[in-house]
Amino acid sequence: MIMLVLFIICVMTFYIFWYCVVGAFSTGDDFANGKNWLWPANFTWANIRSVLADTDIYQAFFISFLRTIIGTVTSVLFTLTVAYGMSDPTLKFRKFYSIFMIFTMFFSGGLIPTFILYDNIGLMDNFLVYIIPALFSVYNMILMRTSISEIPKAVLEAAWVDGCGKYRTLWNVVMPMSKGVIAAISLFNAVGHWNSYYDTLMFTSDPELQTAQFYLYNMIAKAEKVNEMLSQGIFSNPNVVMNVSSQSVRMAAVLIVSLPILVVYPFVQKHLVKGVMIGSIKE
Amino acid sequence: MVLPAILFLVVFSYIPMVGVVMSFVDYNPVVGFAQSEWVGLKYFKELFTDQAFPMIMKNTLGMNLIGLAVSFPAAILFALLLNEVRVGWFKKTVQTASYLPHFVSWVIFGGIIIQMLSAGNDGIINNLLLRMGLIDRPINFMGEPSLFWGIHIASSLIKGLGWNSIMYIAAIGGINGELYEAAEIDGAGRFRKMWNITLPGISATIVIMLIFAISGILNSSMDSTLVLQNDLNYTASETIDMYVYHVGISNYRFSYATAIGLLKSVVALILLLTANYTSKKITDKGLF
Repeated sequence: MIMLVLFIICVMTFYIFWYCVVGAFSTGDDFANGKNWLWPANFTWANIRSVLADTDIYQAFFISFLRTIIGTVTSVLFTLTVAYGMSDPTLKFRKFYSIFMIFTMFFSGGLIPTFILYDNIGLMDNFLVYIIPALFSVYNMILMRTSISEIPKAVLEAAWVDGCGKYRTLWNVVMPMSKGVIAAISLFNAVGHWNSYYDTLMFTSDPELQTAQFYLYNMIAKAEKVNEMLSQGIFSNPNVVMNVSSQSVRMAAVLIVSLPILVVYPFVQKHLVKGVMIGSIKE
Repeated sequence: MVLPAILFLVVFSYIPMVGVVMSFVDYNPVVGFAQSEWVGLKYFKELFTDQAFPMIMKNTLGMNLIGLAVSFPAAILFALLLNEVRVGWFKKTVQTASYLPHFVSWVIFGGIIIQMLSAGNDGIINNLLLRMGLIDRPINFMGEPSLFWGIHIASSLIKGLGWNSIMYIAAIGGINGELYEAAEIDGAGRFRKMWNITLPGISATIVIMLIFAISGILNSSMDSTLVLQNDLNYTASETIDMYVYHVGISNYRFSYATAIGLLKSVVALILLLTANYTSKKITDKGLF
């Protein structure tokens, strides 16, 4: 009985994604007439091709990959350094720093003051708006600090005796010993960067800076974007257009943009779950 | 090593906090703060006479309270059910499938949901309902304000169910196994063990999650609302956060939007402290 309930939940969840796959490979007519439930009646690559024929999507993917990689590496390194500093019990004003940081988790100036700040320091319409504000996370710092404080004191002291400076110790001792938490936080960071579209919407207007998610957001929120793509397609390949509709093309775009997550997910799921566990144990 | 972070927070967290002063002046971006005229509580008063105010309050509180009432117990129940499954591979599969929606963006998830709910022949839900004879005309799900709350709550539930249950699964894993053995000797059945051991065992986690949820009751997920909102369902989908965005960023009414945002942040902070205080009094457990 319990297994049946869970099974149904799983099937429903899975079907949502399967529906998208079926749509992406169905001809426009079939999909528009609701003929396809479980399998495309007439399998076609036309939808995928028409999305890939749009040059904007390559730029969008490039920006997404770039921000995911740079954003994750910089944020993890920066946050880890702070966490290491904060884990030192002899640090002066440690208590004060802690409160100073945690307060920002519960109170913020809100959207507009942030917007004006970014405008004043030149982050508007700048690729760095994806990187710099995400550089430090208090929550991740706490997770890392907890993990670092579990490293035996003797190990850190041995490094000091061997003449390692603070940064050498961080790099050669602390980092290898906190692999688990670093892996988990890196993954959360990467997923967050990859999935974000809100910052593109709020803080950029340059089409060169649009991310893959934002590209998709435009396709879903604005019908013109899809129609423009379809009309471009007519000039390049009339056969393709006969086989697609704005709905089936949309599903193809959804599939293409979600592909990186779907491909990576089964391999990293374990680490992601572990990451949450670290947080829950702390609490 | 810590100072760069302090500097970072000063710039990106504390300067915007000072920036809320903007809500007490007629902020003019051209002349800056110093030259803007002080207007006191004008914008706070304006909010309470704003025609949109009852609408955004109703949508925010309505959607969040019902959403909380549905998804909060659902996550606990899901964790309890999963805990009863003894078949290893089945448990793993369920977990993998149910966590997945959390990791795809709202654009992707919402995009598929909108397509499934389409009012045309391509909408699978309408197709299904028509075939089953439950309706005789397709329903325009996304264009019907009265259906928006339900759609938003249901899709958030599906997206977050598995993931929200992780904390509870972790907490259940931390319960001492001897308690169950002792209960079995005393003749306790499955349900009794769940009620008398598992639930009390995870009560600390439940309380903490509830405090977080209550303090966030005025927040709404912009990620989901931006995707699911359209001109037709606007009256049911416009929340406080969306209104701040529309008033501030789309209409350039910086001071007014900041005032709304500030009021929201202050109320949220009060809610958090109250929830924490109450929980400490009643259950002896709290966040801080």
